[in-house]
Amino acid sequence: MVLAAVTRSKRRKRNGSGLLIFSLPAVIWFATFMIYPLFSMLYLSLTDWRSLISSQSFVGFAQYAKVFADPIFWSAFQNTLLQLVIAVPTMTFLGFMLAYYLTLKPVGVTLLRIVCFTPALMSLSAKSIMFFGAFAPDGLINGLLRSVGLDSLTNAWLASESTALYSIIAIDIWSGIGFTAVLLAVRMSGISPEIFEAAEIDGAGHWRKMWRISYPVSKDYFGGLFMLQFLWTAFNSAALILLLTRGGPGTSTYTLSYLMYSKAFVGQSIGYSQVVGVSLFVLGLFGMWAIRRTFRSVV
Amino acid sequence: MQTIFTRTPKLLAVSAVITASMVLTGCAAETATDGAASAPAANDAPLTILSQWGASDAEGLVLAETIAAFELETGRTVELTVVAGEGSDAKRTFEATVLAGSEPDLIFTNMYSSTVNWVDDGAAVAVDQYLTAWGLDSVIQPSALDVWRGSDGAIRGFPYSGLQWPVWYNTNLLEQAGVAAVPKTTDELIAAVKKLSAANIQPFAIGGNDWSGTKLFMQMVQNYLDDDASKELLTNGGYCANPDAMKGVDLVIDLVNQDVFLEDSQGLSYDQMVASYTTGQAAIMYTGQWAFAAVPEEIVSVTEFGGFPISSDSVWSKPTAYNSQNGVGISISQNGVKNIAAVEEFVKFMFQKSTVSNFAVNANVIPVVIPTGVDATGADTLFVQSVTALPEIVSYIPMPDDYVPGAVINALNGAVSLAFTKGNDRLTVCSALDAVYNSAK
Repeated sequence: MVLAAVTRSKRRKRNGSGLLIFSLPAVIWFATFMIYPLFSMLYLSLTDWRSLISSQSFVGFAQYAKVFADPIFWSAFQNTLLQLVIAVPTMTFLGFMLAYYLTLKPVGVTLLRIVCFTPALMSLSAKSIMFFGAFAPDGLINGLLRSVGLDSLTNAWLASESTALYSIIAIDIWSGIGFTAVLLAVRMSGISPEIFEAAEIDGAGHWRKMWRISYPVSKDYFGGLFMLQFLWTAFNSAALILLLTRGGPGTSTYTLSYLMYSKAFVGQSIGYSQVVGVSLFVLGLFGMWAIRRTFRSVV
Repeated sequence: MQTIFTRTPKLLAVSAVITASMVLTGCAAETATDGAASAPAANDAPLTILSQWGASDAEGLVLAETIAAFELETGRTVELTVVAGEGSDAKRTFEATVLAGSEPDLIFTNMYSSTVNWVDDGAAVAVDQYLTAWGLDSVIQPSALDVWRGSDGAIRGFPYSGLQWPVWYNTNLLEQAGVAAVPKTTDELIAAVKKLSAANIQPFAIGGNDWSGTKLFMQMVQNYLDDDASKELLTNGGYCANPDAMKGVDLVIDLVNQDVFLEDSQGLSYDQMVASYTTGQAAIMYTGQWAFAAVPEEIVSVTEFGGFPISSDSVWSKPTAYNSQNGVGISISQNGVKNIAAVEEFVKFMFQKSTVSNFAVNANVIPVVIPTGVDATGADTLFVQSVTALPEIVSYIPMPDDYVPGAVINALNGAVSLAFTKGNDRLTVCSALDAVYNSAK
């Protein structure tokens, strides 16, 4: 019996060593490209570092004090929250509804799927050029408004403080809805048709089938997509803003992501940008925690 | 700034002579090395150059032509990398190559933003010793060298070009609207714009969404600031607390509210501004000599340069304009030091009389060399106007690029766009400007 126990222990050790050997490349990769950069960001946020070719000086939390006292940071923080609160739920819930429609297999569903997925296939530069033209003072949107006699509603959409951020958010939503819908439709197509047929017999309409059957069944998947859209929106907004508004007018389209880019590559303050990076990281963690709690399956 | 183009009385009297046998005093000087180029060194390492002049721009084309001539004359090979667009793109590219240890030998960019720190950061070298050894200290204007001098007194590179930044007036459109002369005061400007609008002609085009709008905004604010006050404000900000700067902000807001600028100017870019003017739609625009080459002949013939009109209580006596000796210069990297023989040959070649003249005549590059007089027959009409007539009719005021901290200037664009937005008050504008300065401190 003792011998058997020793043998089991040896086997476990051997299995453990094998697992370690096989997982070592992944562990090294993760440590090199995930953990190290994370600690680098934390360290660099405590430095005063002008540019990549200049020398650094350690200033500790003075850099945090400076950043947190800067109104531009709080403006960017506020804009980021607004962008997340409006864009992410809108694109995922509308995407969900569109996905439900796709699962009904309407006429031309294949074409519709392609159309829905098109924004995901467009490069950011192409999207930016398209929307720059649409939102320009003499662009498509104002042209349409003028053509129907709504001249008073025309605006310099990307250059007006009151509309610039919402224009960016609208582009986010446009880009995200179709993509989310196509992915959710894949999940929802796995739901047994018998469930829907039974619901129909009980008198359920589309609205109830959508929210009482499709949504609970795909809630985990929906939560996962919600989290991904949250992270993409929070961390990747810099590029679109760089191409369309560069944070302006004023600071109305500064987001944390853009502020991080701007301070590192234009503003000659890498230390500042890394404080923004840490803030964004914390916001991302909090958001992930909140989303997990919200969409955690009750089953 | 000492202009190298001063009109002689003869030139003033006989304009025809200007185009026929124009003497642009100081287009180039003999370098100490003219006719003394080193022997061909075909076996040496290639000379590598990074330039912010676009490959299809006039400057870029002449640079390529110059390099070809240099290769032919010396037997050396030159590898040119062009990173066009805003100068900051070329700067970032250079810094990336420094990190990789593969930086080019020479960099063509301006002494601005991160360039100022390259010598301190060890990415480039001070050129004082080369300037003397290569005889260029007697070729380049001392005032231009001062622009390229760091706080420690060391010269960061060889300044090569200056710039002129006038206001452009389409006299044909002004005439059509009943405006007899280019406006010299803000009252005249407002009156002219009213007539233009009544005649359905677009007034003053400006890229209120980018650097062109920022420069014009600064220029309008400087209407109330003398040299020293301008430099102080541009360097340190503090708009809200500066009564004279606030008078300037009020002037801008007033002009915007009086529809002097195109509708929704805060949403327009530099390219849109140039397009409006060069297609004959807008009567007025604001850009520098780098745009001369792209202007169609029918617009060239009706374009008259002037400064930005001054108010009745301005500190300046004539309409204002920017000029600078900080157009583009040549920096030497650490790799360039290792390839110094080739660098020396090329830099001397760039400062040869024929090369400088070629850049002036064919690329509208305003040289910063010591005046000696050179035949520049064939120079662009607008170029000639900008270096001969313009200096007579404007007050040159401190150029923002020479004073605004590099960490601030790009972020100012967003703040300035608020000034071009109708309905914004002075506090909104000045607070946004001060926030940008404070954020960079």
